[in-house]
Amino acid sequence: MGTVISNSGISRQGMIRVWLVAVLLACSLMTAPSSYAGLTTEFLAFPTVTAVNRSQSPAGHGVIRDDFVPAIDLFFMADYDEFRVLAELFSEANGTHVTHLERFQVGWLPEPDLAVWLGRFHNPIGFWNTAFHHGRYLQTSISRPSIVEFEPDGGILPMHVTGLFVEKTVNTARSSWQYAFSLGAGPYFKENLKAVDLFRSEESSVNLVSSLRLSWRPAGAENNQLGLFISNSVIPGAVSKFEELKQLVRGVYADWNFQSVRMTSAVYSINSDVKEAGVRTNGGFINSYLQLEVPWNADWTPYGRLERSFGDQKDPFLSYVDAFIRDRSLIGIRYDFTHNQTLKLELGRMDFASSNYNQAMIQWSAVFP
Amino acid sequence: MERSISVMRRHLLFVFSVLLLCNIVGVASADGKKVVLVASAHLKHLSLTRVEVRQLFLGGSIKKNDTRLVPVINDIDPLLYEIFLQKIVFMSARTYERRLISRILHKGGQRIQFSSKLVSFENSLATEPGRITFMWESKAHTLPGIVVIEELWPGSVN
Repeated sequence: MGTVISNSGISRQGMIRVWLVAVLLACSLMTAPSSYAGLTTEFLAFPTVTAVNRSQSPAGHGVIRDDFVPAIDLFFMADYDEFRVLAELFSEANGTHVTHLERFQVGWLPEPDLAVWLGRFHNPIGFWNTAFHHGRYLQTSISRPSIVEFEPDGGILPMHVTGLFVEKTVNTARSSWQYAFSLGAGPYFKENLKAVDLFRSEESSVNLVSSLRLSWRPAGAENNQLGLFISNSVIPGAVSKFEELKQLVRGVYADWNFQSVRMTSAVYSINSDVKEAGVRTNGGFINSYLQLEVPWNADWTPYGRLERSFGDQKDPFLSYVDAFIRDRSLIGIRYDFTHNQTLKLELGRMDFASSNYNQAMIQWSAVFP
Repeated sequence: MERSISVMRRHLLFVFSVLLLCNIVGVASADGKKVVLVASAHLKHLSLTRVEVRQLFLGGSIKKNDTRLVPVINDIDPLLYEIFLQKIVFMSARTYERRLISRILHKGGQRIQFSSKLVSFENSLATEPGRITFMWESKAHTLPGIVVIEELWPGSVN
């Protein structure tokens, strides 16, 4: 039986699958004991429902003009002695990709400030990717900045890596330093970047990604941080003339709370070395975003974000990713109507390489339990 | 005209007096009441810096004298919880709670428990090793089996 696509573009089978997975996992995990014979567990569910209206639907972007997308992110954690397992399962019924095990990490935590992980994790490439993961309730905005967009959604950087991930925190009297290092297999390229899937072997070539991030938080203001990062990737191609991409990413970021304004910003410098039909082409560009949030009170938070690319015409890889948003301006508002549920409205204009459109989104998101 | 201005003045004076009174009452409810960090008696020699206290209540893992500290957020008294948010973690309730979830989503670990969701909060403080929370100093002195570790807030609004 083929997949049924409704007029709004939602796969009905996909939608049923999303909620089935959610209900089954929620029932089994929420009724499980949270602590048993030294084993402790934690479960979180982040459901979202997003309605989208676009002024047009450009070909090749994998999106339609009016869309309605239910999704759920399920997080499970188990602790035993010095060992920990994290799993994040994300399911979205938008007709293109349905259910993925986004993270599966087995960790050794010999001391509170050191964690050594093996498995599939989010690449520590900047702030956003490891601050919010797939938990959309946690981020103030509906959308992610395009430079940290996930691979299937027009992302151009390796957001998921499978291998080794080490995190270390060093606390001093005046500040806290955090180091994150990762080394592992990253994505390959076929129409878009495709990260390693732990349960489906589609690509066997070696595609190594290494990343290093250093962040600093002042003592007494741990919700503020500054950081810098570097990441080097070799991304093989699985399309006719695209053979390989060597990508070097360097950047800085800040997440800072002033008196009544939260600022989240990052600057990425990307260098791409593309091998096409035996010929190498080198180029690069700068991408940056600045998001400002100005809470009116505990419930209402208006926000705005600017994303800009500079010199993007010089990057040889970008011409392969039509869905990458080069520039975007958006405003939005978040309304936390209970302690664990929120409604968000976001209006934005997006510029691609050869097209642009306006987009309005409204989203309900929550965290349970 | 003058009469209406005079009436308006009287109304403003009344409103101002009511607001002042509310403010004084509000302050009086917290003034003079110290907020202290407490734990079970076996942790009587525990010493924590203010940074460690913040880290602990932001979800950080802290081990002292071979005991892993297990913080409990005392939210039974809304004023006490508000003082904790404003004077200890410097965040609004929504930001704080999102911050705790964000940390679990990234690194795992147990969610910090809220006292309002514990069946026997005060009893568990005295009996379960590593439990640590904050409360009014006056309340702490009435509970058996717990000790005051340090003063977190002096009870002054200034």
